[in-house]
Amino acid sequence: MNYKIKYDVIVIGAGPSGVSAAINCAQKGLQVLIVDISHNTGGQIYRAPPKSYKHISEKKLQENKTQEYLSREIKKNNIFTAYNHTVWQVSPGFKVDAFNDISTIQWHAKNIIVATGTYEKIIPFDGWTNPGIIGLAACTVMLKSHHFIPSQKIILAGNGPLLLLVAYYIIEFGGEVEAIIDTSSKFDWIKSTVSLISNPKNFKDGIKWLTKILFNKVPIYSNSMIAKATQHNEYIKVKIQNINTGKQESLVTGTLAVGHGLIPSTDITRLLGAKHIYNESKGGWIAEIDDYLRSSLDGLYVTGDGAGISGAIAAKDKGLIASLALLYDEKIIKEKEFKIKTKKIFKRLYKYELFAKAIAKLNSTPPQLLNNIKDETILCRCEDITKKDILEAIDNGAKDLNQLKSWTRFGMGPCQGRTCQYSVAKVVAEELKCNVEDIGYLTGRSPIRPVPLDRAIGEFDYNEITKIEAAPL
Amino acid sequence: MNLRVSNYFKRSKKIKIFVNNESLEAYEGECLALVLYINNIKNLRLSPKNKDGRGMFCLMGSCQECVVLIDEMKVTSCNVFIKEGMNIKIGDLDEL
Amino acid sequence: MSKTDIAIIGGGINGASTALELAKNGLKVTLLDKHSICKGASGVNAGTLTMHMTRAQLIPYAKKGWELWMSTNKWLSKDIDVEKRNGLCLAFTEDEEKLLNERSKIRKEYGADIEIISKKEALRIDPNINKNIKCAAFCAMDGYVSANQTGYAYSKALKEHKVKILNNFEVTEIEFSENNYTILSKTGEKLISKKLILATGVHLNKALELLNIKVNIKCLPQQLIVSERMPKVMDTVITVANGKLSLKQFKNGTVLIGGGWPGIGSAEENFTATKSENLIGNMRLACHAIPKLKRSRVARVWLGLEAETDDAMPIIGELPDFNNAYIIGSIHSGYTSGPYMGKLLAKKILGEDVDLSLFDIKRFL
Repeated sequence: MNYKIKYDVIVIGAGPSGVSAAINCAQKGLQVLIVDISHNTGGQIYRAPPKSYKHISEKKLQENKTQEYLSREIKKNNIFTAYNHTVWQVSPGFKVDAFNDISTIQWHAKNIIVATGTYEKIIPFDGWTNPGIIGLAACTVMLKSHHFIPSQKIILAGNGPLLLLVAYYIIEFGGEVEAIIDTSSKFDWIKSTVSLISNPKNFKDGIKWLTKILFNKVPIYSNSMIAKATQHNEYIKVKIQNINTGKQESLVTGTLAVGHGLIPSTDITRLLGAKHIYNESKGGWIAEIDDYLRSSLDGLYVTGDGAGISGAIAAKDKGLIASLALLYDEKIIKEKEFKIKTKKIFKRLYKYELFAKAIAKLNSTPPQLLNNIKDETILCRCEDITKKDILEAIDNGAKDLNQLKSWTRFGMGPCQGRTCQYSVAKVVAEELKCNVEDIGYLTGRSPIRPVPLDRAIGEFDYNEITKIEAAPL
Repeated sequence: MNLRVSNYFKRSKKIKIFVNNESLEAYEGECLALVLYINNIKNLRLSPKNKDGRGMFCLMGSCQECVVLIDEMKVTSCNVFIKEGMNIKIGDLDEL
Repeated sequence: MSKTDIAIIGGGINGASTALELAKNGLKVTLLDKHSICKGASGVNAGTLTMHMTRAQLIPYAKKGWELWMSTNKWLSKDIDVEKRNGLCLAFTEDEEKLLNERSKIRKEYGADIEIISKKEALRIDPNINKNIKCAAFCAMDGYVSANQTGYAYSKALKEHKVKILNNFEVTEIEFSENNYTILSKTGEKLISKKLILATGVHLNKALELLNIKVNIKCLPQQLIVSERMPKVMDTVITVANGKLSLKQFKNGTVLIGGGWPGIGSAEENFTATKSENLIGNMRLACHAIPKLKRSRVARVWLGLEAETDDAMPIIGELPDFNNAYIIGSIHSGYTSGPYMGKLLAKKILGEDVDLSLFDIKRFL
């Protein structure tokens, strides 16, 4: 595809929020490009199945149907798409660099809507780096979009509704859930139902999942966590510990999937130097936004769960809000229209936020989970940095996350700290007896995904290399 | 047990890929990370310092744990859809 | 309120080296930093210890600095990776060959042990370099430091020698009487010192302003690129004739691409950003020099702010019209010679006969 270089709006991320924002902008006549690493719309929540898969019948998963709907809407509204493109850099003046299988390309945009969603929060434990142990969110993608069961027997651990959803699909698809290990108590779940009812559709889903789990007599370990996991060829030995009593029990499984909630992706907003605030119930660090999802930088909007966790249904509405703000700021819609339309959406969003708060409670990280991290436990997987390495640097005077990064190499690997920053920050704050927000966040660095050098440089002659003034002699 | 769920989708044709020169059957267009995982090829690379085995983890292109070598280049196998005859190298990638 | 013999403002390589040397000689030293030790350019530069990029007049100092770096286990700490390597400066075109000859000749006159070698010889020294070079300049005095470890190493050494480090001490005011300097921070802290050293790197002009001295200091935002770990693709430190590339592979397998390609950033705002075309230019040049580099992925890009005076030469020495006030900074390729320059200034303060006339601030006043 031949891309234009300049767009009115570039939407990064084609999940429900990005798509909804893109459509709203395009319908008002703006030139919109939507970029996504995947080969189609859907984001993580509705990730599109591989292109090579063909439907057998009209029978479809709801998630797959939603994805197809998003895709149709994008086409209908003449939105430029750049699927299979990984954004690796966004720089001021809004230049967006992305690579695909062949090369890297740069687009310019007057406005950017960041709709990059989240990644999974997984609190480290002894042995969590063993191959075979995967994220709970990874498990959902594996089931719902790729239609694979990870292994015959599976243990699910962590907290929040994802435990139920994954268990449901595994059973539905013919697998066996050996155990669900939940840091929350049954009482926590009962407490939350009052708020969860505020979103009847999701609540109904939850009941459906739970019914199947109970019907299949899946053992549920409440108030429990994984104390340790060890790898033995084809199986994983899992030590389960009650977080209140300390009582331990061991199980053996093929796959261990763990997840403790979601973390908003702030790669792009940090890279652009937007302001960020810490909000534990929204997932940790998020870009500072106003009610209309404007960031602290002109022309930069943040939507979806990346602007704070509030779920997939809210994501669509947040996309509308962000795009309405953009249209209003661009003087395409008048204040009256802006106010009326957003007011209506805010009413709906209010209910979703109640639901999200209840979910956030279920996904909160109990201190026992962090206390379970041993000195020898690896925190930063990319660089093999243990808790002990971090504590030693603190002993020698390191005071904030960026200093710890340069002293220990934590967060310097190819994932740029996405996997470990949350846990490292908690460990450091505990050690320094301060709040997580006091030790800062990792400065955004390009590339936000590792960029292959061969594609970055492309084909070139030596004399085509940018000319630059010689250094003084 | 068949770990492929076929209630909703039909896979494409059967193909062969090569993992460290050993052939492996799978269906064209399937996700490489998952094909390896369900075939119990979970240990994809070694960590830099301790040289511990690592494998697929986040399945969304974020964690970089499922990296393998294809055509001498590092790629996240969770973003690769397999093709006939694809050559994949796993192991101590930093030394290959 | 605390008191000290000597207050050093700025905990970069210059300030920290001066502090360490003074403390070793028994002075009570307090080191202040707006953020933390070596968090600026000193901690994020490419760590190249080369003569091929050093300004000719600074060669004698860089040589001394290089020797200090090669013996950090004796005077600094064992917690910093320093490697000696051969240095090759490459010429790809006839024009570059001419430039390389000229520049190497002048550097040689100033004491650098550089010789021009043939393509064949260069390829023998490092078979990984591009086979299409015209010629190369060789220098055995080359190598690199993992610059990110600078802060850690200096912090440990300074603590050991009882230097008091005050992090997050942003100086907003300096009051001076005949015998004392009173240094005030943004948060209301106060430090009284008999002697004062300004070592604030790219913020040197700001620090001077507090003493009503005006000197122009340019801020060069420079991009650095590091690859993921990869198998060994090079054995030398590579530079090019016009000085706009530095390239080496660390022991851990990562390759660092530097050379001072400008990005976006200023000393005032605590924000830097990349310039794509310059990133790609720098990457292309690196991959042209070491073709096997193409196999790698870029793991991270960052920027450092380098200070430069109008003549691109350092300012080191006493501040005129002040008692016991000194300055050190703006040393071109300053990381290499930093430890030695700090030592020189310390000696001067301790009363030794040291000639710093080349770096006298008076030339700008």
